[in-house]
Amino acid sequence: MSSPPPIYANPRLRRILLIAGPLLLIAGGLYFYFQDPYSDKGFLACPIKFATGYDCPGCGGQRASHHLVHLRIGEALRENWLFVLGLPYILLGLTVEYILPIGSRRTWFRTYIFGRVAIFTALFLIIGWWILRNLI
Amino acid sequence: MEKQYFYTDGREKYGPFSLEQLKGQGIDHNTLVWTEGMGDWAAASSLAELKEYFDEMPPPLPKDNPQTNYSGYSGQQQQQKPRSPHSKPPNYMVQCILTLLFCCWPFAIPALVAASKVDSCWAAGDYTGADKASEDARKWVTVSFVVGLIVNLLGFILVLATSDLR
Repeated sequence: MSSPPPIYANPRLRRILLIAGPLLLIAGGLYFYFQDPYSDKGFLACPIKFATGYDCPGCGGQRASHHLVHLRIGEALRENWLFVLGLPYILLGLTVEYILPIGSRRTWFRTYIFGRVAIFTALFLIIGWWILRNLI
Repeated sequence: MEKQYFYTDGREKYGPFSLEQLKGQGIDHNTLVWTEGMGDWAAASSLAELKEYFDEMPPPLPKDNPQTNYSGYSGQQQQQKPRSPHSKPPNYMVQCILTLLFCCWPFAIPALVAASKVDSCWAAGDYTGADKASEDARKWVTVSFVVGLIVNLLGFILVLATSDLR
């Protein structure tokens, strides 16, 4: 018995992302490779940081990205470990959500990797990190 | 051997079923189905063997168009048809974290709360609540994504305009 052809939750968005996604990653990677966030040239401070002076959960992400594309994982983690861990998780999540065909593999990811436990862990980590980094 | 059928509600794929089993799944005119010999998935109403089954049903709502109906998450048409078996609505968790860490977090906090409600309601058997929370999460994610994109783009242009890059 043959099996049905792949079917996608949102075929149009999938096509757009398959082309735009890699282009954006490459463009962003090149920008962060050649521009130095420590120099204040060509970079924007986080609007929250700018307005309140407090670090938001994503602050340090640009500096971390700069280290990442230079393959300095340790320094990147020191700038914002949550951002560094979140990046591959988000890329995996977007792939599962928009690129994978509808079926059991996608459902497994959505249930166990991006399900209930994951969501509360993320909520806890983000809020916790946000408070903690402004205290120390 | 009897022909095997599959169908999808845009979130999950179900099957294989025999023709009789398929008729018992609560499919409607626009449900996408597939069986051996078909090139791609097609609306159930286009299958000759299902014609009799649909003749006994009320006709589809006039605004339903089999060509454009299938759009994954678009809410309206999905709400009109009962999903059976009912598959979990998207919780938009990844998109929440994305906007939280990258764009504009104040709007992403309610999105993440709504997202967590999707799975909680679902686990508790409150399917209507899960659908509603999913819709809320989608709205908040969209707002935070659009606002975040505009703020960041404007800021980026400002930075490019005011600072001299080497």
